[in-house]
Amino acid sequence: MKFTLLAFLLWFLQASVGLRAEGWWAARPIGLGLATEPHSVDGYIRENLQAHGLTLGTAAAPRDWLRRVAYDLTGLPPTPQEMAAYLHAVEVGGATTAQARAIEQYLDSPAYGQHWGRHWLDVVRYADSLDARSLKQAGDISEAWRYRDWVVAAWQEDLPYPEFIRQQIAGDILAAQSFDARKLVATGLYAIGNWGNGDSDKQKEYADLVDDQIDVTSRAFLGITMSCARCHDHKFDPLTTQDYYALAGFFYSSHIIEKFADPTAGEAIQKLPLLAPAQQAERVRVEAQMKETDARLSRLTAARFQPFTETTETPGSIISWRGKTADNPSLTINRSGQAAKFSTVELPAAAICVHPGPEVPVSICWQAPAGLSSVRLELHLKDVDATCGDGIQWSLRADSQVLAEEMLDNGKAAELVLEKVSLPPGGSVVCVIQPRGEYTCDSTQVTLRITSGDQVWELAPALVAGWQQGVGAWTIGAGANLTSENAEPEVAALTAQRAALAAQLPPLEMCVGLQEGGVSNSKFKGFQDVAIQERGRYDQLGAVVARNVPVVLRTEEMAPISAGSGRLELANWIASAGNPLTARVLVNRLWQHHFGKGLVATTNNFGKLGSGVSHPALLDWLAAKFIASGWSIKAMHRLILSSATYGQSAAEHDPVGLEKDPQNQWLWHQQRHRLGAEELRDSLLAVSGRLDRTLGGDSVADVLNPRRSLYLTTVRSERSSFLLLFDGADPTSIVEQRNESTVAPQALWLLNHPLVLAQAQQLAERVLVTVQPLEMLYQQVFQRAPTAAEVSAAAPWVAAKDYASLAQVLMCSNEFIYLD
Amino acid sequence: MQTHSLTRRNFLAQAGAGLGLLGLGQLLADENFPLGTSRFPARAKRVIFLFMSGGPSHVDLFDPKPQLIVRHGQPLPFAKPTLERTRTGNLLASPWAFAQQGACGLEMSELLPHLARHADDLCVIRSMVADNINHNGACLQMNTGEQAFSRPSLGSWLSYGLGSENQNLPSFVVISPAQPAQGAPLWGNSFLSAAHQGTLVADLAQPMANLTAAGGMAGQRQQLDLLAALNRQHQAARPHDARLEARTASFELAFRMQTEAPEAFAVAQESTATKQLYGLDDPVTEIFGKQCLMARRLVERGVRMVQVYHTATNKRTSCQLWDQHSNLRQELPANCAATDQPIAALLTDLKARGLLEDTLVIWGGEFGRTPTAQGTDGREHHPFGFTMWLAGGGVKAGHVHGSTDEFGWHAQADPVHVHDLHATILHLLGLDHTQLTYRYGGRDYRLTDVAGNVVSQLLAT
Repeated sequence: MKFTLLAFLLWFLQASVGLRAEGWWAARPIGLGLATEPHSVDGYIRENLQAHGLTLGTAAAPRDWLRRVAYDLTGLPPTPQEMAAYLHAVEVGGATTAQARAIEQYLDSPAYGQHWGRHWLDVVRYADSLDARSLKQAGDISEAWRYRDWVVAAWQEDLPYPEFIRQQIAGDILAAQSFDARKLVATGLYAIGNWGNGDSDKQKEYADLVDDQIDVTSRAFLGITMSCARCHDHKFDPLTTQDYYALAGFFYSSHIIEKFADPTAGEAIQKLPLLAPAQQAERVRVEAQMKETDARLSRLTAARFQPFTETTETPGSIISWRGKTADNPSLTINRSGQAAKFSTVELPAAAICVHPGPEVPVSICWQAPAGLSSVRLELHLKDVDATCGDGIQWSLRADSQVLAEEMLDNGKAAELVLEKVSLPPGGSVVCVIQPRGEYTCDSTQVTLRITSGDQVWELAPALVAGWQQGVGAWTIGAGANLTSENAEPEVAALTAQRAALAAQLPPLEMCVGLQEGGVSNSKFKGFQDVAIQERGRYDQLGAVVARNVPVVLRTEEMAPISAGSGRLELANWIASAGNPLTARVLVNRLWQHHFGKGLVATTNNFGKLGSGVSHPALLDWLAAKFIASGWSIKAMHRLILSSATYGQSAAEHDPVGLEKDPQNQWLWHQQRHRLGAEELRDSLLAVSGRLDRTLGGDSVADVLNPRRSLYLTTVRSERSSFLLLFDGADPTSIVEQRNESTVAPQALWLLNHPLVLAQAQQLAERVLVTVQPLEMLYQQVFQRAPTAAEVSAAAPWVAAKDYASLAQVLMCSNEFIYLD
Repeated sequence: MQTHSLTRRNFLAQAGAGLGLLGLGQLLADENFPLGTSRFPARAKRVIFLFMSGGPSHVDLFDPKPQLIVRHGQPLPFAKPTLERTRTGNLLASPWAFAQQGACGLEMSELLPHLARHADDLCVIRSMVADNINHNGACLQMNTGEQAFSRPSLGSWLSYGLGSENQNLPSFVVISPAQPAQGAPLWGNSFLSAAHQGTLVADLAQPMANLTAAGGMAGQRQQLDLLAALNRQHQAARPHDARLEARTASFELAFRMQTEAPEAFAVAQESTATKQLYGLDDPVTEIFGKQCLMARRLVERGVRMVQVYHTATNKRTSCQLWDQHSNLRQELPANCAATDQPIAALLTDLKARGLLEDTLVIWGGEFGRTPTAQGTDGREHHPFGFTMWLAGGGVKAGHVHGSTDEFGWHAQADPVHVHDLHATILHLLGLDHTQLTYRYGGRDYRLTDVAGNVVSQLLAT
C-alpha cells in the first residue's frame, strides 16, 4: 500500500470513527421482527442488482444445478443414477419440486455432516497431532478425532446453533450438571489449540495459550479480532485491552493441561475419561481393588525366594547373575581386578552389588554351619549409582528375627555392626534389599562379614573367588525368603480375582478438552479475574478487570458470574438472540460456502478492517430468519438453495456486469467453484467407485486409504501432505477462506501420483465391462454423455481400449475441478 | 477466488495463484510491481540459509572469551536472567583454541580450519539476540519472526515479494534430511498462497515427488494434448474466467518440470573436482556436502531461497544436532567436521562462479549456548547473546559487528535482534520490511511485525 497523505487521512478518519460503537454496524442489534416480513433472498439481491443496472442470470441447466447442490451439501458429485432421477423429476413434476426433493436428499445424507463439519474445522485450526515427533504419544492431541466426529454429528443432526456454541465453550460444565460424554468432547475446540507449546517461560506460554482461546472464541463465534487488543486497545474497532482481559479471566480460570511441565519439556495435553461421575467412582473403586490385589499378589510371589540361575560374563570379568524370568533383580560381581564403570554404576574392584526389581527384592542368605549358636555381623551398604533413583529399603534378619530395617537414600551409605547375634541351630542370616519408588537406577554395594571366633565368612571375597550358587554358605536370589507356608492356593485365588476385576475395566475412552480452574501449578489455580498485562507483558500488570464481555457488544447484559470460571455465562451470552454478531456471523458462513464469498467477505472479521457488508439488509434478514427458525442451519440451507439467486447460471452473461462488477459483488451470476482439496480427492475416489464413506473414528495417515479426505491425518509439523498441496486448511491457523493456488506440483500429482493412477485404472475397469464404455466413462465423471467432438477426440484411446489413460485425462480436466 | 475478467495485472494482484511457479519474476519484467512494496536497489538476488539446528555454541566457535579461561570454574559474576531452562553451573572455558584468520584478523576457533580461509568473506554478528529459550519457539522466531503463532516464513515472504527467477522450479526449497524442531511451520506459507511455501527435500536421493511420468513421456504427451483440447472446448463457453487458462498452463509446466527439475537436483552431474571440494568423497562430509552442493545448483537456476538444515551426519540424525547439553567435547568437533569443509566449499564455489556477490549466505542456529557449564561437558540454550554470520550479497566482508560482554553472556555493543536481522535481509534483497505486507483477515501482516531496524553497519559500502 502506498501510504500517501490522503490514505493516511482516510485511515485516521476511520480509526477515530472506530472508537465509537455507533459507527460500527455489526454491533447494532439485529431487528428480530424482520423475520416475519415478506422478503426473500431474491428480493434483496434483485433490489441491489437493479440499483447497479444489473440483472439476475438465467437459471442454470438442471445438470449444473444438481452437480452444484450435491457438491455444496456433500462435497461429492452426484451419481449418474441420481442425475438421471433428478432430470426425470424435473421433466415430470417441474424444477421446484424436484429441487426441493434433491435438497432434502442431500441434507439427509451422512456425507452432509462430513462436508460441513470440515468447513467448521477450518475455522477452529483442527489438527490430529501437534508434531510428527510426538505422534500418538501421551502429550499429543491423539483424541482430537472425537471432537472432529462431534462436529460432524452436530451438523448432521442440525444441533440448534446455541447448543453448538454452549457445548464447545462450556460442555464440561454442562456435563457436570447432567452427564453426557459428547458435551465433554465438544470442548476439544480448546484443547487442539496452537500456542507455542513447550516454551520455558511458563507465564508467557500461559498468556499465549489464553490468547489462542480468546482468538478462536472471538473469531469463530463473533467474527471479531479480539487478539488485536492483547497489547493495546484495538486500533480500528471499539475493543479495548480492558475487554481483552475481561475475556482472559474466563480462560485463566480454565485449563487444558493439568500442570505446566518442567522448563525443558513441552506440555502434555490433559486426557479426560469419558465417564459419568458414578461410572468414574465405580472405576476408581475397581482400580483400587485391583491395586490391592496386585500388591497382595506381589507380596506373595516376592516371598517365594528363587535363587539366581543365569550368569553372563562381560569382557573384563564382570559377572552378573539373575533369575530365569525376572528381568530386573540381579547380582553383579566385579572380578576384573579394577574398578568397573558400566551404565550409571561405579563398582570398586573385588566388590559386589545387587539390584532389586520393580516389586521383587534381592536376598543374600548365609547358612550357618551346624553347631554355631552366635555370630558377629558387620554390614556395609553403599549406593553405587548415585546419580539417579530413589534409594532402597533394606533389612537384616537372623531367621525370623528382624535385626535392622532401614531406608537408604539415593547416593548414601549405611553401616551396621552387631557384636553378638544369636542363631537357632542351622539358622541363617538374610540381608534383603528392596526397591523403593524409582528402582531402575539403584544398585547397592553390599559388604557383609560374619565372624565367629576365628572363623570368617566374607561375602564379596567369597563371590569374587569363584562362587557358584548352591556351593558353600552363600545363596543369593530374588524374593525375600520370609514365608515358609505354601502360598500357592492363595496365589491362585488372587489371580482369579484379578482376572475378574480386569474384566470390569474395559479400555478407558478418553478425550481432550477444557476443564474448570486455572492450571494447578500456576498462580491462576482456581477461579479469578485477571489484571491487564500492559503492552502484552505479563510482568507489567495493570488493573484487575472483572470477567465480562466486550463493552461495545453489551446490548444484552451477560449473567453475572456466581461461581466457577463463568464460561457457561459467556457461552449463553454468545448464544443469545440478543447478541448482535452471533447469528450474522453464522449465516454469513453459510452464504460463503454457497456463493464462494460471504456477504461479509472476511467471515472472521466483522470489524472496521474487515471487508464490510455488501448486502446489509439481506444479512440481517437472514440472521433474523435463522433465529426465528430455532437456529436451524438446515432451514437456512433450504432457504438459500431454493432461491433463484443460488440457482442461476455461472455464465458471465452480461457485458455490463463484466464492466461494472467484474468481482461479481452483486451476484449477477453464480460463482464457478473450484473443488477444494477434500472435494477433489473424494471425487476421484467416488467416480472410480472406491470411496469409503464410513463415518468417524481415528484418522488415517495413508493418502491411498480410500476413506473420505476428512479423515486423513493432519500433523502440524508436516507440509508435504496432499491436503496442503491443494490449499487445504493450514492446521496451525484459524482459516476463514482457503487460498486457491494453481501450481505445477498439483498437476504433477494428478499426472503421476499412485492414487490418481489407481482410480483411473479402477474406473477404466468399471466402464470396460459395459456396453458403451465411453458413454459410461463420461456419465461417471461428468454425469453427461460425451459430445460428438469428444467422441472423436477420444477415438485413439477407445480403439486401443486404453480407458485408464482417458479416464485420467478427464480427472485432470478443468470440467472436473471447476464446477459451474 | 472471485476473479473473472482479469487483466494480467489484476490476476497477479488478486489471484495470488501459483505465482512462484508460474514465473512471477518474468511476468513482472513488463509490469509494475504489483504488491505495493517500495523497493531499494537489491544487493542480493537470492539467499542460502545454513541452519545449524539445535543452537551452535558461539563461545566455542566465533566469540573467543579469554575471561572464560581466567575464571574457568568460577561463578558468573553477575545474576543470570530469571528465565532459565535448567540451572547451569560455573563458567566453562572453551576447550578449543582461537586464532586470528585472514587479512581482517577474524578470531575463529580451531574447529573451523576450512572456513578460516574465508575469514575475509565473512560478516560476523557477535551480538545476536533472540527471545525464546526453547528450540520450537526460537526456531519459529528465527524463521518467521513470531514465537508461538502461525506466520509466513522468511523464504515465503521472499517468494511472495520477489517471485521466482525460474518458472520450472519452486521459489523456496528447504533441504533437511530430518525434521528440525517444529518442522513445517519453519518454512510454512501460513496465510500466503501455497505457491510460497518451502518445498521440502528430505530424501537427497529422491528430492521431489511425482516427477516420474508413470506411463512414459510419450504417452503422457498425448494425454496432455487431449487434455488441452478438452479444456479449450470447456473454456470456449467460459471465456471470462482467467483461472481456466492458467490451470491448463500449469499442466504444460508440470510436463517440462519432469525433465528439468531432476536435473536441477542432480548433484551427481558435477565434476569430480567439485564433488571433492564439497567433501562428497568422505562419509563425514558427504551428507552436508550434498546439501550445500544441491543448494548451489538450485540458486544457480534461479531458486530464490534455499534453506539447508544440518540435521544428519553419517553417525546420527537429530532434530537438534547442535544441542550440546552434554558431550560438547565430542559432538561439537563432529558437527564442525561434518559442515566446515562443505560450507567453505560453497563459498569458494559461489565465488568462482561469480554468484557470491549477489547471493546472501547466512549461517546460524536458533540461539547460542551458555558460557556456563551444564554438567561437566555441556552448555545450555542461550538466546541472550550469540553469533551468526553473513557472506556475499551486499554485506561488509571481513567484518565483525557487535560484541557480547567479557563472558559471552549478554549482547553488549550493537545488539542485533532477530527482527533486525530479518529487516536487514529483506533490505539486501531490495525490500522494505515495513512495506512488504499482506492483508489477511482484515489486518496487515509483515515479517518483522511492529519491530525491526535495518542494520546499516552490516551493509557493504
